Amino acid sequence: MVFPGWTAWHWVAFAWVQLIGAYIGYVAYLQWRLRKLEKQQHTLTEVDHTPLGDTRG
Amino acid sequence: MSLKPLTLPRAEARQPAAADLSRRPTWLNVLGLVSLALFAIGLYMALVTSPPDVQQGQLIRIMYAHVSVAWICFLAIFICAIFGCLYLWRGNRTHDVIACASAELACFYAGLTLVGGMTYSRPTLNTWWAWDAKLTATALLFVLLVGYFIVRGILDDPQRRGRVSAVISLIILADVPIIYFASEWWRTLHPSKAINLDGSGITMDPVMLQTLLVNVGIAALIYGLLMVERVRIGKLEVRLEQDQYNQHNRKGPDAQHQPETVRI
Repeated sequence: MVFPGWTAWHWVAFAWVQLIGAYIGYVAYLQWRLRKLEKQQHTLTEVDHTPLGDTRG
Repeated sequence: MSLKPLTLPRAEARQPAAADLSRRPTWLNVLGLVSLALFAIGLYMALVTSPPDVQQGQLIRIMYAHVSVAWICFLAIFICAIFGCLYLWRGNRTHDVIACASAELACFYAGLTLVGGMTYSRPTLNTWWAWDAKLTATALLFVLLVGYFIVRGILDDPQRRGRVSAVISLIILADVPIIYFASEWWRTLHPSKAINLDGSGITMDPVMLQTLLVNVGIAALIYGLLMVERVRIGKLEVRLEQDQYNQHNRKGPDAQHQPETVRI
């Protein structure tokens, strides 16, 4: 048997921990994806930092 | 007198929309906290308030987690198909972004339904899995949703990607009634429905029904919250794709010839 001696409450806890863990994992994944996109956006916009008023060449 | 040079990065000054997209609005944070509190209430109702079942005993408490995610999976597929159809009709890329976000969440909830169902099945039916109609159709749903993203990854052209994935979303939608009616149409290990939407009645204790509906409502709220967050990411991806295109062609963001009209 895979889970010997598991009571009904063990299974209930297992099912709910799965759900909570999945939600936390998905939110963390979305945050990671957002940070990655922000980083890419930042790299893309950091093209030209020449001071606009500086004409000294 | 020496003038202080203005050192604002030019590209950044031209694109305030991208920065706005990546900033999470306050109401979303508040809604996140509200959902967390409501989830705790739903969990309390499932684990404490709900009475044990005559046949399943305490194991009935798994049902509140399992059924709520399964129903939200159906909802996510339905919304994905609606926005897929809207994209086919109107060609607005925002509709494709929403359809894709809902498909990702449907895939997430389908995975949870399968794993949660196996966890429920092992102690109640003494088996993890059976290749019967309902379970196989649910597994097929998950595979189709994974396929949806594989196809999206293959296609480079945004228009073609949107159209093909909209058609796939309709195929996925066709699997939903098969899953729903599988326990009536075929012999299956999965228990038959306790709530019949055809009006033939509810064979469930009122407290259990209340707990289930509260948990479904909370799962729907969390789905809505995750959708808002995922759509924001999708819009940011579109914006980035557009910016990369503009930079590649050495054009400004105000260029007339875009790969596709994007209305965000």
